Amino acid sequence: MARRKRYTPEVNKKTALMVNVTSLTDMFTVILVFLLQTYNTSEVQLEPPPELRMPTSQSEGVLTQGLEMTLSKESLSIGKEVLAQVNGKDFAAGDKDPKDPNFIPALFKSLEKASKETTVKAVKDGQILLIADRELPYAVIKKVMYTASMAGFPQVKLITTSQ
Amino acid sequence: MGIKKFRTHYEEFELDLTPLLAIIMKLVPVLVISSSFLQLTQIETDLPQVVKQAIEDQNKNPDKTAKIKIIVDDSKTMNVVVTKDDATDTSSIPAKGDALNLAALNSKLVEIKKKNPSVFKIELAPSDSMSYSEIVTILDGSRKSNNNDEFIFVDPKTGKEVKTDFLFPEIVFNNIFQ
Repeated sequence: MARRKRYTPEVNKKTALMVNVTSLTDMFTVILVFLLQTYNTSEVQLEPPPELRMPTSQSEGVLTQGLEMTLSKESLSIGKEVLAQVNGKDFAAGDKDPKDPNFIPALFKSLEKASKETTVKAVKDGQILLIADRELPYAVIKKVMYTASMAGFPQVKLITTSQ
Repeated sequence: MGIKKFRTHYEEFELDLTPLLAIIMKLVPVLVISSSFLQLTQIETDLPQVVKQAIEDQNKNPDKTAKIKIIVDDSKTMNVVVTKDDATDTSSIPAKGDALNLAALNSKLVEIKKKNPSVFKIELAPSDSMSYSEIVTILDGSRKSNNNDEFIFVDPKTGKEVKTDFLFPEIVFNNIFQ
């Protein structure tokens, strides 16, 4: 008994192979729209530490320039320089001024230095962008604001995530 | 005589999507790199010029305008103190369970705003134990009405009536030096 011959479609080898890109274009258009929506036009790019959770706010304010300060549940830092240790509820005893517990000497020195060395107008004008953890008590934030205003930085902008 | 071949619309129009695809392929990586997936905002932003002017006037003449202060104690009770012409009116807003009663605070502030439309500044004195996120919710609740109410006040420069949806956009932490 002869075996049935397998069907092979006839292919015209002279015609060029046409790939249908319509569905691919559709997909890319959707991705493009999504990316355009999330595109950030702000002149300031902040990178909060991954472990820090900021509060959410209804504010729609666009970020402006200023001295970036990070206050997490573990530490207070400006840039990569850690200025004081935080134990979740308060600053470490050694980081506070013994005569004035609201005063953080390391922060004061760092702010004074930043004010003298900076060329950014917003920093010279005393603007701070405070990136703080949402669970921190006001007592900790108050100490930062107190020391900052003593060092000539009275404008503290609170950085939040949008709702 | 030959037979005329039947042609469909699909055969006549074949849109070449390759250039479009090439552009999108270049745009996508650029946007992926520059996109910010965490949208950050800041509190204390620029205000409309008329509101700014009113705040400046209030700062210049603090005695003429009402002073509004929100004092929050450890039990999360908010005391709203309004001082005007040597008279003080205090309203207490107790906590709702373990949380701040923000809806009642917003209603109270709308009521105060209707009586004092030219005041845009309030003082906030949170308790030391309050969390930062709770403070931010008070700032949000003091900035605009929950019901999108609009308030009419007189522009100090032009003397004309102006509508605004701002309640008290300028908030000063009053107990920093205490």
